[in-house]
Formats: sequence, C-alpha cells, structure tokens
Amino acid sequence: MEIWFVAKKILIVDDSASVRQVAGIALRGAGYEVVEGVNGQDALAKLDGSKIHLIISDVNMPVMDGISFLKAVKANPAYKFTPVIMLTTESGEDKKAQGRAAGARAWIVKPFIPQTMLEAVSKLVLA
Amino acid sequence: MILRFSKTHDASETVATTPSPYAPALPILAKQVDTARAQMEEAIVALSERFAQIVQRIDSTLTASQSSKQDGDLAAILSTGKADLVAVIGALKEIHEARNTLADEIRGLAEHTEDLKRMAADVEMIAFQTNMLSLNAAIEAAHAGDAGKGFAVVAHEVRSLSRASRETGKRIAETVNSITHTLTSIARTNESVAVRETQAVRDSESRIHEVLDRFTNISGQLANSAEELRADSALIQGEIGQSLVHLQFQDRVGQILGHVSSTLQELPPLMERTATEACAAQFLETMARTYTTSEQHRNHQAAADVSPAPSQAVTFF
Repeated sequence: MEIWFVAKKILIVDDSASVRQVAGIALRGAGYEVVEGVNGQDALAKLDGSKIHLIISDVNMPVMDGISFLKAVKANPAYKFTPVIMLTTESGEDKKAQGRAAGARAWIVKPFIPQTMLEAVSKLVLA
Repeated sequence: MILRFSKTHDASETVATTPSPYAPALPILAKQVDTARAQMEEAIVALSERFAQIVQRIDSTLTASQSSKQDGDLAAILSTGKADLVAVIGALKEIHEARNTLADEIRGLAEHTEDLKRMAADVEMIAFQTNMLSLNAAIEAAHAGDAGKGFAVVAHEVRSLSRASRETGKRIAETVNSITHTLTSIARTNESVAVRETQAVRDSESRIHEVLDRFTNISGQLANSAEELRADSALIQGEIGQSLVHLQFQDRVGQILGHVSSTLQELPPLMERTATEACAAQFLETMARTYTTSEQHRNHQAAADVSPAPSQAVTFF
C-alpha cells in the first residue's frame, strides 16, 4: 500500500493489553497510526501537543479512570475538540450519562466487533 | 480496585467483637484469585501479541506481494521475450531466403556455361574452316609458281593461326567444363546446406514456441498459486482477527476477578465487628455500585448468567 497522505493518529487508552491489541490491529489495518496508553495518567503523558485525531478510552482503569481522563482531555485547550469514544464493559445508563456529560462523543460496550469500532471512528475522526 | 467498605460505615453502627476464625482464609483466597487473574492476563497478552505479530506478518507479505506486481512483470518479460525470439526467427528466415536467391543465381550461371561451350565449339569450327581455307590457299600458291611464293608464306601463317585458334577453342571448352563442374558442385552443396538450414529453422521455430508455451504455462501457474496464497492469507488473517475478538473475554474476566479479590480483602476487618442489617445492606449496595460488567449485576440479582455477545451498537452522543 502506498501512502500518499499522513496517517491520522489515534490514541487508545486501556489497561487490558488484549483490548489494545484488537483495537490496534483493526485501526492499523484501516491505515491509522496508533498510540497506546495503559491508563488515564499514562495517556495524558502521551498528549504532548502533537496532533491526535481521535481518542478511544476505557472507563475502568487503575491509577486514573477513563472519566477523569476524559475531563482532563477536555480541559486541555490543545485537545478540547478531539473526539473521544469510550470503549468499556460498562453498559449502565448512569455511566453513559457521566461520559456524555464529560464530553464523550460515543459509547461502545465490550466485547466489541472491530468493524463497529472502525465505523464509529471514521464517522468521528477529525479531518 | 479498592472498595473501602469500612469507610462507608459509621463506627457507632458496629460493635467490636472477637475475630472470626475463618477470617484469615479470605486474604488467602483474594491472593489466589489475584494469581489466577495475573496468570490469565499474562497468557492472554502473550497470545494476543503472537496473534498480532502473525497478522502483521501476513499483512506485510500481502502488501509486498501486491506492490511488487511480479505477475505483471513476468507477463511483460514473456511478451518482450516472445517478440525478440520471433524477430530472431525472422532473421534466420531472411538468411535462408538470401541463400535461395544465391542458389538461383548459381543455377543461372551454369546455364550461361552452355552458351560458352557452344561458343568454344564455334571457335574450333572456325579454326577448322580457316585451316581448310589456308590449305586451299597453299595449293593455289603452289600452282602460281614463283609468283605465289609470298602468298604461300601468308597461307602458312594463316594455317598456324588457325591451329592456334583451335587450341584456344579447346582450352576454352576445357575451362568452361571445369567451371561448369565447379558450379554444379557448388549448387549441389548449396542445396544440401539449404535443406539442412530449412530443417534447422523449422526446428528452432518449434523449439522456441515450445519454450515460450512452457513459460506461459509456468507463469500462469505462478500467478494462480500467488492468487491462491493471497486468498488463503486473507482468510487466515480474518480468522485470527476473529480469535482476537474472542480474547477480549480476558478484560471482562479480569475486571470481575479484580472486584472479587478487592471485596475479599475488605471482608476480614468487617467480620471483626458485629454488623447491623443496615450496615450489611450498605455493604451489598456498595458492592453492586462498583460492578463494571453487566454479568456482575445479573449475578447479584441472581439472574441467569449469560455471556455477553459482541457489541454491534454504538451510542453516539
């Protein structure tokens, strides 16, 4: 495959390596560049000012959970408008409401089908 | 995940009591659960990394085989090779044609030698007649006596010339015979070479076509097997992708086990106190609030345990 454009960069935040693998394989296969974070704090350290086109984050993670991470992202002027998809085992409406209030753009419940995630990503990724 | 149940209770609600003799078992159980969780996570991570590597390798192989366009190159080389070899056959045929023209010219030359033979015979005939004429002239010179003496000398010279002419005629005939013989021999040799050459050109042509056909077949087979390989690789990639989806159970199971372990660790200090009903209810309520999967909620409500199906729906906000 010849690349004629700079690949869009996506940050995946999840403490589960297997989930990062599945999402990473699907995203890389679709031509995205992937950066990984193992929890909210680790992911914040990856936000160094460089362009991130979309963030996919778990909710329940050690050190810093996904909702706190989402709030920190939205408070950062450089990433305020970066769309965030929450990818979590949580399916309760109250949790979804928390995510929505914190600024998440979509909610996908695990286990997920990579194609479903890719469709949501292509719909939300910023040009 | 640490639940901190003890913090949610008011000290006035609980009364210190003697520790339960079973309490020490709970942290041990929590450790066992943690070990199981860690081992499972380690194994699944290793497995998924291997799978990811396999997928990547297949992917790069597929990309390489598609971008190199080997089939196209092979077809182009074959086509150029065909054109070159057809040109070679053409050149051989041209040489053959030139040899045929040469043979015709040699045959034409042989025909001219017949004329030369006739001309040589004519020279001999003229020499003979001139000789006869000189004899007659000598006789007439003798009849003339002394007056014919000078004429007799001329007649004698004419006779010598006619003899010389006759010799020349003979030599011409001999030379023409020799040339004819050589030309016939050349023509014969040329014809046999031409026959061998025709056969050689025909053999070369058929061999070249055979080789080209063989190459065409092999390149076709190569293209087919490359296509099959690509299809199989894509299939394997898809299967591995599906397996990776199923490996996501580790994340859910890990979260459930993590919750069980934290809860078990929280229990011993609580068991050292006599809890009120309200306190126990609060414990259960806190436990339910900290669940992260739908299975935990269903189990809590004593509902039937059903493994969750992969999610297809996305909730957009």
